Amino acid sequence: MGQTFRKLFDTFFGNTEMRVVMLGLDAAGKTTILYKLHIGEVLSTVPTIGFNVEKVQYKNVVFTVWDVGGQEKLRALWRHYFNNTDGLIYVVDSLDRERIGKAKQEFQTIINDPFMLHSVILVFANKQDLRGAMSPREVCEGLGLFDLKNRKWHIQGTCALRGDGLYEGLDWLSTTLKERKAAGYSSIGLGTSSF
Amino acid sequence: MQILEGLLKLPENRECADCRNKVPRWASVNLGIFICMRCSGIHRCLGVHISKVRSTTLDTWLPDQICFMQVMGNEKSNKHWEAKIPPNFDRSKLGIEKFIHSKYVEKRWASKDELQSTSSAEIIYNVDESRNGGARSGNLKNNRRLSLEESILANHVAQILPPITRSRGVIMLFIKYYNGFIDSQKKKSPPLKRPSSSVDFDKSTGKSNDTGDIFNLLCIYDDPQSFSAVPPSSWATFDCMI
Repeated sequence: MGQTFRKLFDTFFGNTEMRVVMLGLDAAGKTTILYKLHIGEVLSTVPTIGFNVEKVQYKNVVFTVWDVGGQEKLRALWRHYFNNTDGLIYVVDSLDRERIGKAKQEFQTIINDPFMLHSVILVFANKQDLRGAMSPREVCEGLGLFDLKNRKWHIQGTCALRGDGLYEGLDWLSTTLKERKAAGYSSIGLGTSSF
Repeated sequence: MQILEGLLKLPENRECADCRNKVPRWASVNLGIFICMRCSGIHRCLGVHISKVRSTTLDTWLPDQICFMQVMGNEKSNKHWEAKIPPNFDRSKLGIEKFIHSKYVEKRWASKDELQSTSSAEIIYNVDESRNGGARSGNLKNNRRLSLEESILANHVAQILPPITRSRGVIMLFIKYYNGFIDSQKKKSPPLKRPSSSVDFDKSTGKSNDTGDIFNLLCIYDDPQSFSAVPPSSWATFDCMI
């Protein structure tokens, strides 16, 4: 019954579904972000062993967000979530300057995977509320975003605890993905990245 | 990893350093403690400037981090962080989240006397990480061969003897410091500049000015001029143009 209504509702308002995978080093704030978006609350989380998946609706886009554990030995499993992914949300702990190099390494591995070559990239420079956090620009440099060619990306400073920046990020994601769907995937992948 | 498993079998590390739950499988690599999964979640919320959480099973560890866990451990750490805690204090009443925050962020029960040794221990951790840039250091190869008994012995030796008499593994760090310290004494030069020179775990030398200066040098994160709070309005966002 619920399903029928949902389908009817979707047809009426033109809801589109998008599959998004949310990755990043451990303790970046992925699960906190997921549940802040899903239920609007900050849950006290434990490290994710495995994954969480929730649907998040923003405007008329339903994002299916896969939040996958970021511990070192779990990162090898990330690639299993790459297939049919429209977008990547990469979460960075902006306070963790020590591991920004590691974050870059993992980020580059993800975006260069054959299954991820066409996905759009949203980077959340999380924990902006903490004193000493890297600015989004610093995170940009740290991840090597400026060097990306032929990729559509966006970086957003966020504070998952307060929810700051999260919906701005989703806004970009939905707009970009819609544009891509309207234009057809073939048009993407031209041009260069810059400001 | 074997060393880590050995450390987890020590009586002091069989319980979570914060909630006393059995079989902790997580750790804070800068505090040098073993904690349970629930407490690891709380520690992660504190930020990496307070606690850096790693899994003993799901993360790979740098030899320096293992070395620091050997030097510290739950007992020693709690001796410092829970020095002023009232006997029979009911931590469950306070709530474990608040307890951990009070313990490590507010430093409510921390001992001032032991702070020196703790700070020095943190220097060992920080220095080695920055110096090696994530690479495995040569002296820790020895450390890997240490059996559990040897590591316990090494810890004891580290506490009671002056640096030069200590040997093998962990102790290599101390010798490096000692040499650096002697050099500086000879030359009467300004504070030591070699990163390894600040490695010190001896209380008596820990109080020297050299260590203090280097500690300041290392802890650039605390420098108020280096960073400023970023108000949400200035959170720039960047886009790529296609």
